[in-house]
Amino acid sequence: MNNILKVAKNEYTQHVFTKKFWVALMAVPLIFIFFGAISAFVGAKSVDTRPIGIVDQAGIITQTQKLDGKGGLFDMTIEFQGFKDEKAPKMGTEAGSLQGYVVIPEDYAENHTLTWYGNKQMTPEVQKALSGFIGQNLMAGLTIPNKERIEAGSVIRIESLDGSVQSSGDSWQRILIPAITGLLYFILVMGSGNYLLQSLVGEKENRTIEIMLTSVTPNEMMAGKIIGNIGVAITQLVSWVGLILIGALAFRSKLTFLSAIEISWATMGINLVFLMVSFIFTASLLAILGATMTETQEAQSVMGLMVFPVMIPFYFFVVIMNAPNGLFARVLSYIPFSNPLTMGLRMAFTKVATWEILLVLAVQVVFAGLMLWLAGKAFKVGMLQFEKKVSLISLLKKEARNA
Amino acid sequence: MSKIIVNQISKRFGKTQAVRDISFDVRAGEIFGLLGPNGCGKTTSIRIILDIYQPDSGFAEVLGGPMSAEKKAKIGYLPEERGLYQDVPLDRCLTYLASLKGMRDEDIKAKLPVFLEKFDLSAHAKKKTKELSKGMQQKGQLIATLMHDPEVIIIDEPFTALDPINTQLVKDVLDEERQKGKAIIMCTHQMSQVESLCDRLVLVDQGRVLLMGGLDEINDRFKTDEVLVKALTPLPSSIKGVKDIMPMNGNHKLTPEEGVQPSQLLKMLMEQGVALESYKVLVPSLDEIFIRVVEEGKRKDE
Repeated sequence: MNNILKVAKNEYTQHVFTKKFWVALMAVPLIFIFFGAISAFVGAKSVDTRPIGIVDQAGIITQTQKLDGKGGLFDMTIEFQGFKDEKAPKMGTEAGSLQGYVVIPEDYAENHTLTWYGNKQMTPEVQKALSGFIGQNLMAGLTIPNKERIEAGSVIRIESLDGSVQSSGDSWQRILIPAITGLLYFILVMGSGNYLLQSLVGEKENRTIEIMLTSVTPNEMMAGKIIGNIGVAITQLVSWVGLILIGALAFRSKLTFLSAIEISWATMGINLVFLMVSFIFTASLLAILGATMTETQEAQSVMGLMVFPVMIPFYFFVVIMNAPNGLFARVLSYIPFSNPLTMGLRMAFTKVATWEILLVLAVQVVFAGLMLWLAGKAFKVGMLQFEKKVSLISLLKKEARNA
Repeated sequence: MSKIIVNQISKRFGKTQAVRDISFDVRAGEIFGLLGPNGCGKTTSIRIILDIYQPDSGFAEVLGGPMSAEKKAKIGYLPEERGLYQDVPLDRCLTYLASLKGMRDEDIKAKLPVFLEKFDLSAHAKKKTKELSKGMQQKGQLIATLMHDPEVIIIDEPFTALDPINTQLVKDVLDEERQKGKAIIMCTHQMSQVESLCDRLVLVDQGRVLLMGGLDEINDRFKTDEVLVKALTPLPSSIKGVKDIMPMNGNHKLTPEEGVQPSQLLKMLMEQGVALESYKVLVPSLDEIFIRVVEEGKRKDE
């Protein structure tokens, strides 16, 4: 095994084979599940599912209500109960067995006006259920061409002028892959990048760096640490994705919308390449910063600041979507921090010329290579400065003298 | 045969000339003392030997040529800034460091328990490094320095934090390594350890060599004809052949007149009826030589 793999293996095992790692790993989905469950519980409790009385003076209700719902996670069915006059539903509403009642007047066909009687406002859920129920009864018995098609709505297919970008999904489906790529980059930087920075500063804090440099080259050490920490991040992601899949399988009957997602493996591959190159750039930058620090606490503050550049494309998500070939989106494509999400979004919403994809990739590779080279140099000098903080400029000057 | 050759190396950091024209060599089977006050350029010299720094001029050769990846595995280094991974068990930390020196897993498994036993750390192998005392960590680091059986050993202050028993243990280990033909550079401020261990030494101050040679050679160079006597009866105020008499902790330091050797002086004292309990030719300690040479160097600079 070469030195890079030895360093990577040690880096990986030092983080992953600890209770702390798994507790932190499981804590994230558990927190999501906890707050999600609370939110769902509160949401479900806030929806009044008590029956609603219908007093049909117009005689339009001829069909019984469909109570099977759509099958969504939070779909609630509100039952409508028919009454001949207002006396019984009024008593039921006062007693609380009904949440209210609706009177369909005799002149409904002319005025299209219903009257709601209740002690509180008609909720959107009730309005939606009532509209569906009335519509279903109004159309009952009529021969309407393509009635089912009208009810189901249309699937809109989207295609760029040259036919290169095609999608039959909604916007949310098209932004799914870029958004996941951007999110992965964010998680990689905040998770793996953070581990890398902590690890480098830790070598300094533990005074192990000088021993390391008599066994491996700075570049071997850096590469090993980057690979090891990417492994840590992948472990995190795989664990989380695994949990999501288990959850999706458990609730598959309620998550029918997932089957509509279309995935282009080629686009995903390009996104992944951009993601990895950007991460190498960011990791190298973190390594340079790590070389200037003496304590892991400082490293934590730096990671706090890293959130801002990494979040830039998220702030301008809509701008990029609306003008994917605009100047702003193009500029963001060349900045390593914003590259993964921006390029992902652009490729999802327009045709990006192949030459431009290659040019952006080439620029990213140059940036990443330059930063990696600088990191190796800065690291070699700065990492042996144990006691005092080193400014970035003096570090590079020092290296220039030593080179 | 020289395992390390340092030839006229110089290194400057900004306005500070850390090392200037330092030369020395270290042979197989010797312990070579690299001495000097704090900030004198010892660590920079070592880092140049180890290829961590590049010299501005001159060169350092290890095992017959420039440093290479293969040669790194043949060097054992105990830096002044001690370091082991604090949050991992000692045995895992040592296994990792040994693997980076090219040791195979089966060799590590075979040798590590032997070294842990030798340094009395077997019972602490599974403890996290941060749970160990400074002395134990120091011994752990010595294991990391020696376990891969290096040809060249460079150790900086190996006795810091060690009690007398462990100090003796480390001295014995270093002596063993010397017997095996290893070339050893030892940096220390503890001159008594240099006197008892080193074959040759170089004294560096302000980045330059002030003194170099074998221990006997240096002692000869700095010895005086002064003697320390303990008299059974009070000494007369003036003694023939003695230029100066100075009381010293219940003894007397006698400085003989020009041309009078210590052996002649003893004879003269006996002839003058001075009754002596002890008579000792004063040889300056390495501490004294160190201070004298460094101060002379400073005076020359002024």
